[in-house]
Order: sequence, then C-alpha cells, then structure tokens
Amino acid sequence: MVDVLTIEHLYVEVEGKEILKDINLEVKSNEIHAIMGPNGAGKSSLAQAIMGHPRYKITKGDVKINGESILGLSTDKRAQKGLFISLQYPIGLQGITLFTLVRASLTALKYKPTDPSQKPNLPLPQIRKDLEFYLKKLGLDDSFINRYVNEGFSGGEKKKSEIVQMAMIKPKFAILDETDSGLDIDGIKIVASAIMDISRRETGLILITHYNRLLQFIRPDYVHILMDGRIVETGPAELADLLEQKGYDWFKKGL
Amino acid sequence: MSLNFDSNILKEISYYTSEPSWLREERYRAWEIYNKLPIEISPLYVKHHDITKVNLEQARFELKTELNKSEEIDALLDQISSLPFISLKDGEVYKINIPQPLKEKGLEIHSIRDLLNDEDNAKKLLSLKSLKPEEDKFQAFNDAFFSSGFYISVPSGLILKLPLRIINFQSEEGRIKAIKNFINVGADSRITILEENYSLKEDLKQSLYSLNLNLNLGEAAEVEYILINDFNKQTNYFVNRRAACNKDARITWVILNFGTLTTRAKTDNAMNEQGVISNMNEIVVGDAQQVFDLTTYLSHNAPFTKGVSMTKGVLKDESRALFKGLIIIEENAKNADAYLAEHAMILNRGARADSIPGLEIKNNEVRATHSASVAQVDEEQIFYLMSRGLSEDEAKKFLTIAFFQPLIDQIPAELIKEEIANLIENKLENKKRSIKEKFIITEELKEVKTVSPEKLFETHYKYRK
Repeated sequence: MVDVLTIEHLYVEVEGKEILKDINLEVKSNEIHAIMGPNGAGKSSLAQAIMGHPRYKITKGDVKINGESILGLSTDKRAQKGLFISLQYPIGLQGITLFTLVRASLTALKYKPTDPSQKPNLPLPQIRKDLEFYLKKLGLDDSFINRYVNEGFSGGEKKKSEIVQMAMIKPKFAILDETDSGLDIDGIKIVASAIMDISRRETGLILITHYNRLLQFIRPDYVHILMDGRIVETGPAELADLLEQKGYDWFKKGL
Repeated sequence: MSLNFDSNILKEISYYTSEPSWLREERYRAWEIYNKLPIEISPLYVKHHDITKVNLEQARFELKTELNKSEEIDALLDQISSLPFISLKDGEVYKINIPQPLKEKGLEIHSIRDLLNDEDNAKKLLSLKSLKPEEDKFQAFNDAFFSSGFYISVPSGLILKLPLRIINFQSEEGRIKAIKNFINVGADSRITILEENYSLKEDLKQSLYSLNLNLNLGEAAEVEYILINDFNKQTNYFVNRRAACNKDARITWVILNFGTLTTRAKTDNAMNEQGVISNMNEIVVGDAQQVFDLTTYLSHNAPFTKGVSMTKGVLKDESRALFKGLIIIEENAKNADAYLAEHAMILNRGARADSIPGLEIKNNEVRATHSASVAQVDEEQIFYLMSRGLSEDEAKKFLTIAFFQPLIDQIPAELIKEEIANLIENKLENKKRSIKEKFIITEELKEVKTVSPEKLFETHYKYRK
C-alpha cells in the first residue's frame, strides 16, 4: 500500500514571525522529494514543524497522513504514524547508548505491549544483529552500538548514525535534514547508497539540502525550491542541476 | 530545631548504658557544645543549609529495655543467614549473625552497650572515635545522646567478596534516636559493606535518626561502603561519617539517597597517610518535600593521596538539594590529586538545587579540579527522543537515568551496579514496593579467604596484574 503525506496551505510562525507561507506538498511513500533553498529559506523549520517541534507554531493549513490530520498529535504520536526526522544538528545524548535508544524506540514504535503491565517482547539478538549490519553498511564500526548517541561523534558520524536509526525504524516517511553536510564525497556516496538500500521505495524521502551533491547519487522524482518561506518552483531532478550551475541569486532574479 | 527534652535525659542514658562516669562527663560537655554551636560552622556554608522541614515537637526520646520481635524482619533476615550481618530495629541492635568460618577468622560484631559497661572496653572503643563534638553541632548532639550502636572489627588480611550487611529497620514513629557506630578494618583486608535503611510503614509523626559512623581503615585496607537510604518520608536522617585512612588504604562510597524527609549528611574522607585513595559516589533522587543537605570533604592530610567525589542528583516536585563539597589539601600533602563534581538536574519548577564546591589548598604541588552545575532537562533532547517514538514522560525518565549513567558506569561496586538504574527508576516512578521486594538478596557465602603475608604483594592493588 502506498501512504501519502500531504501538506496543505501550511503557515508557520516562530516567536511571532511568519517563516513559512502557503506550503503545499504531496509525498507518496514510494517517492523521493528534494527541498532545496538558500540559508534561512525555512527548510529546517518546515522539517521541524512537520515533526511537531514545540517552537514552531502552525497558524494555518494542515499536515495529513493518508488524509488524516496529524497536527493535533505530539511528536511521539507522529513518529508512531510513520514519520521520521534526521536532524541537521543531531543533539548529544550523554548516558544513552545507540543500542538503548534503538531499543526504546522500537519498543515504542513496533513492540508496544497492548497490556501496559506486560513487558515488551523485543527480539534483542536480532536487533543487535541488524544494528551491526547497518553500522557496517554506513562504514561505522560495532563499537558505536555501545557509545553514547552523538557524544564525541564527528559531524559525519552523527549523520550516519541518524541513517542507522532510520534503517532500524523503517518509517513511512523520512525527512532528512541536510544529511550531506559534514560528509566528504566518499561519505556522501556511502550514505546515499545506504539511504537507497534502506528506503527501497517503501519509505517516502524528503531530502532537505543546500547543494546538489547528494542529489547526484539519489535522483529525486521532484525538486522543490524554497525561498523566503515559500515553494517558488517545483520540477524534475534536472532543476537541481540547473540550480547548481546558476546559483540561487540567478534563480531569484528570474522569478 | 526544637527538642522537647533537656539535659536530664543524659543522666538517664548514662544509667541505661551503665557506662563509666567519665563518659557521662563527656556527654555533658557535648551537650554544652551542641547548645553553643550554630547549625553550620564553616564560613563557606553558613548561608547554605536547610533543616527547615524538621519538626520534632511530637517526637520523643525513649530508652527501650526490651525489643519486640518482628516476624517480618525475621523472615527477611532468614534469607541472608549465610552472610555476616547486623540488624538494628529502631536503632537498637536486633540481631547479629557471624557465620562460623568468619568467627574463626576473627570477625567481630558487637552491640556497643556490651562494651560500654566495662571500663577497659569502653576506653578502647572510644579511642576509635574520630568524630569530635567541636566539629559539628550534630556530632555534638550524637555525642550527648547516643544510647546504642555497633562495633565491627574486621581482622587483618581478611578478604570478603560477599558483603557484610547492615540493615536498619524503623518501626515506630515520632522517635528520636542517636546511634554511634564503629567499624575498624584491619590492615590488608578487603571488604564490601552493604547498608540498607528501611521503614516498616509510612508514619505520621516525624522522627530523628542521628548517626555517627567512625570508620577506621588500617594500612592497605580496602573498603567498599554501599548505602541504600530508603527510610520513610517522616524521617530526618542526620549522619556524620569519617573514614580515617592509614597508608595505602582505599575507601569507596556508593551512597544512594532515595528516602527520608531531611537527610543532612557530612562525610569526611580523612586521607591521613600517603597513598590513600578515596572515592565518593553519591546519588540523589528527590521528590515531594524532600531535602538533601549533603557535604563531602576530601581531606588530603598526607602526600600522594587521591580523592574523587562525584555527586549527582535529580529533583522533582518541591524537593531541594544542597551539594557541598570541599577539597582540603594540607601543607604537607604534596602531589595530592583531588577531583570534585556536583551536578544536579531539575525536573520541574518548584524543585531546587545548589552546588557549592570549595577548595582549601595549602600546597602548590598538587592537582585539584572541580565541576558543578544545576540544569534543567534539555527541551531539544526531549524533542529528539520524542521524534524516535518516546512519550514526553518516557523521554524525561530516559534522560534522568542517562544523567546518572556516566556515574553508574564508573562505580566499581559490582554488587549493586546492575540494580542502581532500577532503583532510580522505581523512585522516579514512585513505585510502591514492599520491603520484601526491596531487600537485596545476594549470593551465599561459599568460601572465606585470607591473605598470607607472602601473598600480600600479589594482591595489593599496586602490584596486581
């Protein structure tokens, strides 16, 4: 079954300032969308607003999954509906290992016992095996399983660890916020191929990016250009190439 | 803190313990000191103390002649009959158990009342007392009013892998009790002490449990002292401890503060000779109206001593914590190495914590570092965890345990390590558990080891591989 994430006429405010205006987007779980735009255009705000970060106030419009509004849901409930976000700046979690986090996450998302007095029945050995598999796929060694999440990780390692979590959770929709930043060209290749293997056109991808680099390895079905809080253009993958050649300024003048 | 009794009670206690007259004189002296001293002597802490919740107007001082048996306690103690233990009920010695093989090795546990009635024994016992009335108001209180306690003597060279247990049960409300304990650990011994404080029921009237612990470590002795403090929330627990350490001795504390209304604790690590290592680990989980006023001293009185003190607390509701740590490095304590950390996390408005680290350094060739913080739960961390499917409450609980995790990870106490996170979680969730569920069951005593002098070099930590 194909799931659909719809964003309808969305307006978002932060501290009284309107930063997203009339955003419309439809993403199917077998599609890849890219959202590109200059710094400060509102790309990360859109990602966090969809996920329900309390800082972002939605003043108008709606976000729906399969026709049902999710705006009334807290962030964890949105995750349970199948949304995932890979943060631009993943925060350090001292004291929480990757294994502990993944275990808690899977408990909440996939193995929640119907009777709360019962213990969740997690296949822990399999989870550990899967973790090892995906860590390897992303070029991280096993020791990351027992390291505190994002503590002492390099920028690239943080982004890779986010993709490992996505692989474990297997969401319906993943918003990947500047996953390519902090990665060198080899890193981008590894991460891009891992993202493709993991999503397998079963997870709808929203790739938020500044540059075209990632999109050379993951060709999107649609490219949306976000400027000053609005989607100003939507086109095929070639739009990203054009933007790369000409730059945002040129694009702005043409509008 | 107002008391509804006066110095007349001193005479009664003295008759009750049948102690020598000089000890009675000491009590009067201590009572005078108690009345003169302010709650805090140190200028560092004059403004930082809190015993405001203590209300003893309905509490009474009582000297018991006989102790009622409790089936509940007996059933618990039956489970650890193969371990050495001493159990106290309402501050009175209830049961002492020394397995035969340990008795043969020379392990001794006595009620101090069996020693105080003899002139020589009383003298010997009091010679082990390192806590002086002049140092602290509530040490003076304890010196004036103590009527019970225990003396444990661990012979030299005894290695005990399983814990020596101390279990304090409280069954009566509205009581004032002063207990004085002595533990003397012989040279080259290695032991773990596990102390647990439980109340048999919830009370309505407040109590005062005053405790002084004089712990002496012989040369190269190693002691791991674990305390789980889970008295009910009408108990005021005033404790002073001193670990007086001789050459190359090593003291490790793991103190878990969950219960009581007010805990006022002062722990002094007196590193009196060179090579001593002391390691203090303290955890606080406070809720409701609880107050934790905790002071740790790292007293470097000799060269080449190493002291570490780490306190971490999480406070919710209207609970309050004061973390006071003081590194004292004396003039002769060249190459001393001290580290002090006090960190608190506040879970909601209304809860409060203060970290007050202090340094008194009289020698330049030393290393002393400290860190302190009071913070709230990070909203971005909560968002991150919620985006992974955890509810807000789960995320908070998760972050709280994570806050303690680095400390738990480095605690050497294998015996309790696995259990600490569970204990913290239970307290956070305010889980009501019976004492039977809380009581820690450890393995049975299988063998008793002692070190022969030839083997000392191999087992001493400096030469261990």
